[in-house]
Amino acid sequence: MLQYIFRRLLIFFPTLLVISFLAFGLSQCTPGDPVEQTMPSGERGYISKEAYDRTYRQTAHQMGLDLPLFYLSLTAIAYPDTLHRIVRKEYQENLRKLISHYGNWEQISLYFAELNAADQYLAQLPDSIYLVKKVRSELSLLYLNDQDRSIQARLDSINHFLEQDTLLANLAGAQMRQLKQRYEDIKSQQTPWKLKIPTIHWHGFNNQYHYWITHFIRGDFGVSYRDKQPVYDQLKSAIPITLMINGLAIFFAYLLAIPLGVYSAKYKDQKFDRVTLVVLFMLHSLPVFWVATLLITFFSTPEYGMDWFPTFGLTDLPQSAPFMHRFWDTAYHLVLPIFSLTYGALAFLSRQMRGGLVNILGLDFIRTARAKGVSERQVIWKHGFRNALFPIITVFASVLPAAISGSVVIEVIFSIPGMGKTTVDAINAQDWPVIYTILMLASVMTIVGILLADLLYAAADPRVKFNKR
Amino acid sequence: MRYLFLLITFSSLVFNGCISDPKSTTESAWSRTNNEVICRIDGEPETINTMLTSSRYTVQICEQIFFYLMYFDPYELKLVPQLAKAAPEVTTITDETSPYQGGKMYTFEIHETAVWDDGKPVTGKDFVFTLKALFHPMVQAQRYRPYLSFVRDVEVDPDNPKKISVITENPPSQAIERIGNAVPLLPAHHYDPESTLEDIPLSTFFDTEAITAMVEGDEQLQKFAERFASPEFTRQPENIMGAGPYRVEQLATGQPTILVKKENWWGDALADQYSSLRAYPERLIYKTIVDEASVIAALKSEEIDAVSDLPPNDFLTLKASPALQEIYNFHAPPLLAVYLIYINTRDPKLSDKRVRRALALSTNIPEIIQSLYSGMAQQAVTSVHPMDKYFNDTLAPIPYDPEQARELLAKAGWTDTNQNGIVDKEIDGNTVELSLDLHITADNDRSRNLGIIFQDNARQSGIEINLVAKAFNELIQSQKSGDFQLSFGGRALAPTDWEPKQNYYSIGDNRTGFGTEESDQLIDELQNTLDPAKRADLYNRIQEIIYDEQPEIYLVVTQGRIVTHKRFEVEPSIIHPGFFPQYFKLK
Repeated sequence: MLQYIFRRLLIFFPTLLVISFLAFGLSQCTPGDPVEQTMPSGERGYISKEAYDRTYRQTAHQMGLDLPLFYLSLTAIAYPDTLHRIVRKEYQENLRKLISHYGNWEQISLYFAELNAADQYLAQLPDSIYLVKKVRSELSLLYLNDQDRSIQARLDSINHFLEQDTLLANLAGAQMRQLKQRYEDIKSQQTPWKLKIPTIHWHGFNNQYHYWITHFIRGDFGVSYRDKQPVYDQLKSAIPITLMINGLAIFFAYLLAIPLGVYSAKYKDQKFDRVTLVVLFMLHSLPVFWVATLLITFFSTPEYGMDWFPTFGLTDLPQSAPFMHRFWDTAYHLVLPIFSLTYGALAFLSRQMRGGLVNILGLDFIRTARAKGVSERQVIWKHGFRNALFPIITVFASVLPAAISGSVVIEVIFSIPGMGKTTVDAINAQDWPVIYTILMLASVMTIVGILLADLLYAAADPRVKFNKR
Repeated sequence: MRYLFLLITFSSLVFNGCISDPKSTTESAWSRTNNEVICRIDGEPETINTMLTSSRYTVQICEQIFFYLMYFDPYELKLVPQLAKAAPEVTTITDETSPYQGGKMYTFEIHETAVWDDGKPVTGKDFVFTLKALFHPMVQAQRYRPYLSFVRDVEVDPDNPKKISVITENPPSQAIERIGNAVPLLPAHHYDPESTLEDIPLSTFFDTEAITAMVEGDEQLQKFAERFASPEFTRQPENIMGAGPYRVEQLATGQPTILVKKENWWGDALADQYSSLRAYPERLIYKTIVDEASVIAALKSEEIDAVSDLPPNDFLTLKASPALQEIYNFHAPPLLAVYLIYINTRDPKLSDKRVRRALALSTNIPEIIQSLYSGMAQQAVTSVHPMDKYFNDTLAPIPYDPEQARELLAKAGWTDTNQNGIVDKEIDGNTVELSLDLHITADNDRSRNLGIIFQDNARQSGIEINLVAKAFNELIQSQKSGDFQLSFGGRALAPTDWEPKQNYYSIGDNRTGFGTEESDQLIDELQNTLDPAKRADLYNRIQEIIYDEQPEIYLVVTQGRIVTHKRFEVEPSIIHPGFFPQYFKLK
């Protein structure tokens, strides 16, 4: 057994590592920029581009987002290993797209440098030349354009503005022609073959993933982008709430489902079995959000004369209230959410129990027990039940991760700030430190759940041996 | 058969219950009579420090705890003194030795009686500390820094520590608002007990490179920033200190946030003279309710006293209930937000303003108001709210007129030559149909429904609209990169004077590519014009140009949907969330 656990733990860590790699990889595929979210709105309404860029770099540095993503990158040779040094994510992404179109970083980097130079040069020219602003506006779009059609349209517009103003043409014409030439060079000197040859770039240990995983292992989950609070503090308050609600729901679900399943098996195809089947499947087919909303409407307002339960939240009492008062008040608040979580699982669990037990009750050893005169109660609960537990244990393995990741629907409807709601809020805000941590915790719980299920199999059936192949 | 009967009986019970007449309610009298206001918020409050949060409901709570020099009165819609005794005295810096000669100095004086929770006086030193914390590079307050980029230094009067002079260079026309109302004051002795920032001149904090270098080499300065943003100072009620009327009694995840009125609060004695110092309820309780069905149930069971942003249909249904009319007041003030469709004027198909006007004429706004807002909205004419004093009321709302739209398109060369219902035009030898992409937000029902109505309307004028659903971030990115033709958007309007520079200046966050030499000149002129009459003329002309150029289709300005308990006298405001619980007066 110990050897088995040890072997499982050996697989445990690589699995977690792979999950963490995937999480990091996926975060790069999602649109949006966490740095941008903390920046002042309206880039140049109140702040110059230079000041904005400086603040952006500083913020990205504080958030650790100016580092390469991972130890290495598997890419085509067309992509340089220094692209992460373009800190503004939207510029970096645009350059990446340009490389994917043309495959010639040398020309693209010259074009980008020329664009920067032109932008800086025009910023020095007086705003009193009206078309300077128009040209700068077009340049600002070039930083974000990768399609030939769009870039060509911008360059044509700039050309059009230069034709309208001789002074501007004299001042900036050469620079703009140079920019246009740089873009023409990109198109005329394409090297698409470079996009087909893979290469690996090594970025070293100073990367975002290394920083995060080393801190994570030490129990430092980072700081939330959204509220600047440690992720640990955020989850510390959400986990107990979710564990309590889901733990109680699981407890009640098993408490009701097991006897129902057992009695359905015992009275197989009789009236009790058929009524239970219909009722439970009716409940199972009712969507949880709908039932929860109906429960609130019927049982928490005076409109239907049944204002029996509170509408939302965990408690109305202040933290200073006596413990028992708070305990009962919380229990009162939890009746509807726990009912909503429990009823749906009843049908599934009880049918699993019933199916398992029906199979067992038809086996020879049960017939033998009955022939020996063992009471029906003992036959079912002592001989049959234990052997029919396998499906229930399998289900339990999947329940454990759900217990920590929470139920989004119930937590949102009843305004319970548990893990489900925290996860949704974090995803909406692209709060990656929180998302990574929840993902890792859920993964750990999944693996623990599977391990626990294996151990329970052995406990339920001594024939299960782990140290023999 | 028996099961079918059971199913039908159960379903009838459920559905009968759902459509039950609200009049059948048994509740008729108020069950709540105390002087505490329970407000609904739709998310847990996070960091109780105005500088560090961007959450709108956290800012609402912070405003009860922390005070500004000047406050934007939500009813008079103007800046009024809060911690300051009066609006600042503005003088020009004439000192020839000053590097800021020609700049402006804004002198404020803080109320003599203003004190922090521990009885220590609120002084100019606290204002200086607040600015230092704001500009500390490790304090994540970059969102607010640009507002004060014109401030160069602050002098505290050596004879009167409550008198401060803010030295500025090239101040904008909204300088008083930005100095007085950007961030509230924090007590230096409490948030910086080791006086880490005290000896560093404020001007050093305005020099980004100098202060960054200093912080990188100074562990104490780094520790200050960490502690300043830590839960110790942002989540622990006993450590959250401001000069406002309320202190935090309870702040914990999953619990209502409770603010309690301070005993013998210094502002009470001045409340008759200063509207911003009024604070009537003994307690303010903020309860987090996310789901709209739960909000409605909470209203029916009288569990909350104030709620805003109800969906229009729900608001009207609740308002029609006689039982709820006995308990609640229903308010629908106009809201400071405009919904619009951006038109990319750089796009070859949309560069002709007649085509843009044709699109506006093809938009059936009355239908949008009825279908999507249940009538609780008003047609927008420009980007200025129709109630704004600077709204140009000579500009008429653009009617829904597909015929006129077709005529305009024909004048612009777009006619239906191939009789397929879509107008077309010969461009560079190719026949191009007027088929346009409208970007809508993927996860927003209203945006999608609006797109469908617009698509249907435009078809009547011979314009084909293709709806392209995008994630919100992608939608914004495509607007910023100019990679769109039509894109749905919304814009919050400031209660202060309209600031067209951000959206309509040739360079800036101008997503449509709009901008003429005249409009830029007018916007520049506006920055330096203080005379209200002259400003009105400038605003009128700018609106005329925008109206004529049609870079955006203005759809609607909406109404607030606010419910407040009848035991309080409440005046709704056009400032979000439409009610201010500190001003709720028990009848």
